[in-house]
Amino acid sequence: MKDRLRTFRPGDFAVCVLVLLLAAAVAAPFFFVPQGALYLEVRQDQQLVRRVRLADGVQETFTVEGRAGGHNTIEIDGRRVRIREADCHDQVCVRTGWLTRAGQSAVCLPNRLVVKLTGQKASGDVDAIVR
Amino acid sequence: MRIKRIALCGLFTSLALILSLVERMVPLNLVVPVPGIKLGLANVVTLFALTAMRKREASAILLCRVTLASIFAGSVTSFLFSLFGGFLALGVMALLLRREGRWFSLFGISVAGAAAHNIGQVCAAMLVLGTADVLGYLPLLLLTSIPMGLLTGLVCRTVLNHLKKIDIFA
Repeated sequence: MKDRLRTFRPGDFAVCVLVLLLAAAVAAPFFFVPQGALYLEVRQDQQLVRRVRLADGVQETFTVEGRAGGHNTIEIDGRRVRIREADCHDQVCVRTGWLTRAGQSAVCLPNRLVVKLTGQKASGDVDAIVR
Repeated sequence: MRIKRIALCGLFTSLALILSLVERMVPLNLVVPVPGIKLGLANVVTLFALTAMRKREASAILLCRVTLASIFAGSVTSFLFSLFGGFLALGVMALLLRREGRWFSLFGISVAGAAAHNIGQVCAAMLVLGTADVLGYLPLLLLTSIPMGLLTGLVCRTVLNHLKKIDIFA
Protein backbone atom coordinates (compact mmCIF):
# COMPACT_ATOMS: atom_id res chain seq x y z
CA MET A 1 0.00 0.00 0.00
CA LYS A 2 1.16 3.53 -0.78
CA ASP A 3 2.54 5.69 1.94
CA ARG A 4 0.11 8.46 2.72
CA LEU A 5 2.27 10.75 4.76
CA ARG A 6 2.38 13.40 2.06
CA THR A 7 -0.37 15.87 2.68
CA PHE A 8 -2.11 18.66 0.82
CA ARG A 9 -1.62 18.46 -2.88
CA PRO A 10 -2.48 21.45 -5.11
CA GLY A 11 -5.75 19.82 -6.09
CA ASP A 12 -6.94 19.93 -2.49
CA PHE A 13 -6.97 23.70 -2.52
CA ALA A 14 -8.69 23.65 -5.89
CA VAL A 15 -11.39 21.43 -4.40
CA CYS A 16 -11.89 23.79 -1.44
CA VAL A 17 -12.03 26.87 -3.68
CA LEU A 18 -14.49 25.11 -5.97
CA VAL A 19 -16.74 24.20 -3.05
CA LEU A 20 -16.64 27.80 -1.79
CA LEU A 21 -17.45 29.16 -5.25
CA LEU A 22 -20.33 26.72 -5.59
CA ALA A 23 -21.67 27.74 -2.19
CA ALA A 24 -21.48 31.39 -3.20
CA ALA A 25 -23.13 30.67 -6.55
CA VAL A 26 -26.05 28.86 -4.91
CA ALA A 27 -26.39 31.51 -2.21
CA ALA A 28 -26.25 34.49 -4.58
CA PRO A 29 -29.79 34.32 -6.01
CA PHE A 30 -31.22 34.30 -2.49
CA PHE A 31 -29.64 37.68 -1.80
CA PHE A 32 -30.66 39.33 -5.05
CA VAL A 33 -34.30 38.29 -5.09
CA PRO A 34 -36.43 41.44 -5.23
CA GLN A 35 -38.20 41.75 -1.95
CA GLY A 36 -41.97 41.83 -2.32
CA ALA A 37 -44.52 42.05 0.42
CA LEU A 38 -43.57 39.98 3.42
CA TYR A 39 -45.98 38.51 5.91
CA LEU A 40 -45.39 36.98 9.28
CA GLU A 41 -47.56 34.02 10.15
CA VAL A 42 -47.69 32.62 13.63
CA ARG A 43 -49.35 29.26 14.00
CA GLN A 44 -50.04 27.23 17.07
CA ASP A 45 -51.32 23.68 16.75
CA GLN A 46 -51.58 24.55 13.04
CA GLN A 47 -54.10 27.27 13.85
CA LEU A 48 -53.24 30.71 12.54
CA VAL A 49 -52.76 32.90 15.60
CA ARG A 50 -51.49 36.06 13.96
CA ARG A 51 -50.71 37.37 10.52
CA VAL A 52 -48.75 40.60 10.27
CA ARG A 53 -47.58 42.48 7.22
CA LEU A 54 -43.95 43.38 7.70
CA ALA A 55 -42.65 46.77 6.64
CA ASP A 56 -39.59 48.83 7.40
CA GLY A 57 -39.77 50.67 10.68
CA VAL A 58 -42.37 48.43 12.29
CA GLN A 59 -41.27 47.33 15.72
CA GLU A 60 -43.30 45.05 17.91
CA THR A 61 -42.78 42.39 20.50
CA PHE A 62 -45.49 40.03 21.62
CA THR A 63 -45.80 36.79 23.52
CA VAL A 64 -47.74 33.71 22.50
CA GLU A 65 -48.90 31.48 25.32
CA GLY A 66 -48.88 27.76 24.62
CA ARG A 67 -51.51 25.25 25.69
CA ALA A 68 -49.26 23.58 28.20
CA GLY A 69 -48.28 26.86 29.81
CA GLY A 70 -45.18 27.50 27.72
CA HIS A 71 -44.59 30.79 26.00
CA ASN A 72 -42.61 32.24 23.11
CA THR A 73 -41.75 35.90 22.74
CA ILE A 74 -41.67 37.01 19.13
CA GLU A 75 -39.88 40.15 18.06
CA ILE A 76 -40.61 42.05 14.86
CA ASP A 77 -37.97 44.49 13.69
CA GLY A 78 -38.84 46.00 10.35
CA ARG A 79 -38.66 43.24 7.75
CA ARG A 80 -37.15 40.68 10.04
CA VAL A 81 -38.56 38.51 12.78
CA ARG A 82 -37.17 36.26 15.43
CA ILE A 83 -38.25 34.30 18.46
CA ARG A 84 -36.46 36.28 21.10
CA GLU A 85 -37.19 34.16 24.07
CA ALA A 86 -38.81 30.83 24.87
CA ASP A 87 -39.20 28.74 27.98
CA CYS A 88 -38.70 25.43 26.24
CA HIS A 89 -35.67 23.35 27.14
CA ASP A 90 -34.05 22.98 23.72
CA GLN A 91 -34.19 26.64 22.57
CA VAL A 92 -33.98 25.57 18.94
CA CYS A 93 -36.41 28.30 17.88
CA VAL A 94 -34.37 31.02 19.60
CA ARG A 95 -31.13 29.73 18.10
CA THR A 96 -32.65 29.85 14.63
CA GLY A 97 -32.14 33.61 14.86
CA TRP A 98 -33.58 36.26 12.58
CA LEU A 99 -35.88 35.33 9.72
CA THR A 100 -35.52 37.70 6.81
CA ARG A 101 -36.84 35.98 3.68
CA ALA A 102 -40.12 34.45 2.58
CA GLY A 103 -40.12 30.73 3.22
CA GLN A 104 -37.97 30.87 6.32
CA SER A 105 -39.43 29.58 9.54
CA ALA A 106 -38.62 29.06 13.18
CA VAL A 107 -40.26 26.20 14.98
CA CYS A 108 -40.80 25.50 18.65
CA LEU A 109 -41.86 21.90 18.96
CA PRO A 110 -42.45 21.85 22.73
CA ASN A 111 -44.96 24.71 22.41
CA ARG A 112 -46.20 23.55 19.00
CA LEU A 113 -45.49 26.95 17.55
CA VAL A 114 -44.46 27.77 13.99
CA VAL A 115 -43.32 31.25 13.01
CA LYS A 116 -43.07 31.64 9.29
CA LEU A 117 -42.42 34.35 6.73
CA THR A 118 -44.43 34.16 3.54
CA GLY A 119 -44.68 36.13 0.36
CA GLN A 120 -47.84 37.43 -1.24
CA LYS A 121 -49.92 34.29 -1.33
CA ALA A 122 -51.64 32.91 1.74
CA SER A 123 -49.77 29.80 2.68
CA GLY A 124 -51.93 26.80 3.34
CA ASP A 125 -49.40 24.35 2.05
CA VAL A 126 -47.16 22.39 4.34
CA ASP A 127 -43.57 23.51 4.31
CA ALA A 128 -40.77 21.04 3.81
CA ILE A 129 -39.54 19.04 6.75
CA VAL A 130 -36.13 17.56 6.12
CA ARG A 131 -34.66 15.06 8.51
CA MET B 1 -10.02 -15.59 -0.08
CA ARG B 2 -13.52 -14.85 -1.26
CA ILE B 3 -14.95 -15.61 2.13
CA LYS B 4 -12.41 -13.36 3.77
CA ARG B 5 -13.43 -10.45 1.54
CA ILE B 6 -17.11 -10.98 2.29
CA ALA B 7 -16.31 -11.02 5.99
CA LEU B 8 -14.33 -7.79 5.59
CA CYS B 9 -17.28 -6.18 3.79
CA GLY B 10 -19.53 -7.18 6.68
CA LEU B 11 -17.01 -5.84 9.15
CA PHE B 12 -16.84 -2.45 7.46
CA THR B 13 -20.61 -2.31 7.01
CA SER B 14 -21.07 -2.73 10.74
CA LEU B 15 -18.36 -0.17 11.40
CA ALA B 16 -20.10 2.33 9.10
CA LEU B 17 -23.42 1.61 10.84
CA ILE B 18 -21.93 2.26 14.26
CA LEU B 19 -20.36 5.49 13.02
CA SER B 20 -23.65 6.70 11.56
CA LEU B 21 -25.36 5.94 14.88
CA VAL B 22 -22.62 7.73 16.80
CA GLU B 23 -22.83 10.84 14.64
CA ARG B 24 -26.58 10.91 15.30
CA MET B 25 -25.71 11.61 18.94
CA VAL B 26 -23.69 14.72 18.06
CA PRO B 27 -26.20 17.58 18.03
CA LEU B 28 -24.43 19.47 15.28
CA ASN B 29 -27.61 21.29 14.24
CA LEU B 30 -27.46 23.21 17.51
CA VAL B 31 -24.33 24.93 16.21
CA VAL B 32 -25.41 25.24 12.60
CA PRO B 33 -29.22 25.26 12.40
CA VAL B 34 -29.57 23.37 9.13
CA PRO B 35 -31.52 20.13 8.81
CA GLY B 36 -29.53 17.22 7.45
CA ILE B 37 -26.18 18.43 8.73
CA LYS B 38 -23.87 15.61 9.77
CA LEU B 39 -20.29 14.98 10.73
CA GLY B 40 -19.95 12.52 7.88
CA LEU B 41 -18.16 9.91 9.95
CA ALA B 42 -19.71 7.09 7.97
CA ASN B 43 -18.09 8.62 4.91
CA VAL B 44 -14.74 7.63 6.38
CA VAL B 45 -15.64 4.01 5.75
CA THR B 46 -16.62 4.73 2.13
CA LEU B 47 -13.35 6.54 1.49
CA PHE B 48 -11.39 3.83 3.24
CA ALA B 49 -13.13 1.07 1.31
CA LEU B 50 -12.48 2.91 -1.94
CA THR B 51 -8.77 3.20 -1.22
CA ALA B 52 -8.15 -0.22 0.27
CA MET B 53 -10.79 -2.41 -1.40
CA ARG B 54 -12.55 -2.74 -4.73
CA LYS B 55 -15.12 -0.23 -5.98
CA ARG B 56 -17.78 -2.92 -6.08
CA GLU B 57 -17.12 -3.76 -2.45
CA ALA B 58 -17.22 -0.11 -1.44
CA SER B 59 -20.58 0.29 -3.21
CA ALA B 60 -21.96 -2.82 -1.51
CA ILE B 61 -20.86 -1.57 1.91
CA LEU B 62 -22.44 1.83 1.22
CA LEU B 63 -25.73 0.32 0.06
CA CYS B 64 -25.94 -1.98 3.09
CA ARG B 65 -25.05 0.83 5.48
CA VAL B 66 -27.63 3.27 4.07
CA THR B 67 -30.36 0.63 4.00
CA LEU B 68 -29.72 -0.68 7.49
CA ALA B 69 -29.25 2.79 9.01
CA SER B 70 -32.64 3.81 7.62
CA ILE B 71 -34.27 0.69 9.01
CA PHE B 72 -32.79 1.24 12.46
CA ALA B 73 -33.44 4.96 12.68
CA GLY B 74 -34.91 6.82 9.80
CA SER B 75 -37.59 6.91 7.19
CA VAL B 76 -38.08 6.23 3.50
CA THR B 77 -37.24 9.84 2.71
CA SER B 78 -34.07 9.83 4.79
CA PHE B 79 -33.13 6.61 3.00
CA LEU B 80 -33.49 8.32 -0.37
CA PHE B 81 -31.50 11.36 0.76
CA SER B 82 -28.64 9.23 2.09
CA LEU B 83 -28.68 6.98 -0.96
CA PHE B 84 -28.43 9.89 -3.40
CA GLY B 85 -25.81 11.68 -1.32
CA GLY B 86 -23.85 8.53 -0.56
CA PHE B 87 -23.51 7.33 -4.12
CA LEU B 88 -22.74 10.77 -5.52
CA ALA B 89 -19.99 11.07 -2.89
CA LEU B 90 -18.70 7.59 -3.75
CA GLY B 91 -18.62 8.39 -7.46
CA VAL B 92 -16.79 11.69 -7.01
CA MET B 93 -14.26 10.23 -4.60
CA ALA B 94 -13.62 7.21 -6.84
CA LEU B 95 -12.94 9.60 -9.72
CA LEU B 96 -10.55 11.79 -7.75
CA LEU B 97 -8.77 8.79 -6.21
CA ARG B 98 -7.33 7.97 -9.64
CA ARG B 99 -5.23 11.11 -9.29
CA GLU B 100 -4.39 10.60 -5.65
CA GLY B 101 -0.82 11.44 -4.70
CA ARG B 102 -0.06 13.70 -7.63
CA TRP B 103 -3.02 16.06 -7.76
CA PHE B 104 -5.03 15.29 -4.68
CA SER B 105 -4.45 13.98 -1.20
CA LEU B 106 -7.06 12.19 0.87
CA PHE B 107 -8.00 15.57 2.36
CA GLY B 108 -9.13 17.12 -0.90
CA ILE B 109 -10.84 13.91 -1.98
CA SER B 110 -12.67 13.73 1.32
CA VAL B 111 -13.81 17.37 1.08
CA ALA B 112 -15.05 16.73 -2.46
CA GLY B 113 -16.91 13.65 -1.20
CA ALA B 114 -18.52 15.57 1.64
CA ALA B 115 -19.61 18.34 -0.74
CA ALA B 116 -20.95 15.79 -3.22
CA HIS B 117 -22.87 14.09 -0.42
CA ASN B 118 -24.56 17.35 0.50
CA ILE B 119 -25.34 18.18 -3.12
CA GLY B 120 -26.87 14.74 -3.69
CA GLN B 121 -28.84 15.00 -0.48
CA VAL B 122 -30.30 18.39 -1.38
CA CYS B 123 -31.07 17.22 -4.93
CA ALA B 124 -32.93 14.21 -3.53
CA ALA B 125 -34.81 16.52 -1.16
CA MET B 126 -35.80 18.77 -4.07
CA LEU B 127 -37.08 15.76 -6.03
CA VAL B 128 -38.96 14.24 -3.11
CA LEU B 129 -40.48 17.47 -1.83
CA GLY B 130 -40.98 18.96 -5.27
CA THR B 131 -39.71 22.35 -4.21
CA ALA B 132 -36.53 24.34 -4.72
CA ASP B 133 -36.83 25.87 -1.25
CA VAL B 134 -34.39 23.35 0.22
CA LEU B 135 -31.70 24.72 -2.08
CA GLY B 136 -31.36 27.52 0.45
CA TYR B 137 -29.68 25.07 2.83
CA LEU B 138 -27.01 24.08 0.33
CA PRO B 139 -24.56 27.00 0.77
CA LEU B 140 -24.24 26.42 4.52
CA LEU B 141 -23.99 22.67 4.00
CA LEU B 142 -21.24 23.20 1.42
CA LEU B 143 -19.35 25.50 3.76
CA THR B 144 -19.45 22.94 6.55
CA SER B 145 -18.36 20.18 4.18
CA ILE B 146 -14.87 21.71 4.08
CA PRO B 147 -14.02 21.29 7.81
CA MET B 148 -15.96 18.01 7.98
CA GLY B 149 -14.19 16.70 4.89
CA LEU B 150 -10.79 17.63 6.31
CA LEU B 151 -11.71 15.81 9.52
CA THR B 152 -12.79 12.61 7.77
CA GLY B 153 -9.75 12.82 5.50
CA LEU B 154 -7.49 12.99 8.52
CA VAL B 155 -9.22 10.01 10.13
CA CYS B 156 -8.98 7.99 6.93
CA ARG B 157 -5.29 8.78 6.41
CA THR B 158 -4.46 7.88 10.01
CA VAL B 159 -6.33 4.59 9.72
CA LEU B 160 -4.66 3.70 6.43
CA ASN B 161 -1.18 4.44 7.74
CA HIS B 162 -1.79 2.17 10.70
CA LEU B 163 -3.47 -0.64 8.81
CA LYS B 164 -0.48 -0.78 6.47
CA LYS B 165 1.43 -2.46 9.26
CA ILE B 166 -1.04 -5.32 9.60
CA ASP B 167 -1.89 -6.46 6.14
CA ILE B 168 -5.51 -7.54 6.54
CA PHE B 169 -6.11 -7.57 2.82
CA ALA B 170 -3.49 -10.15 2.02
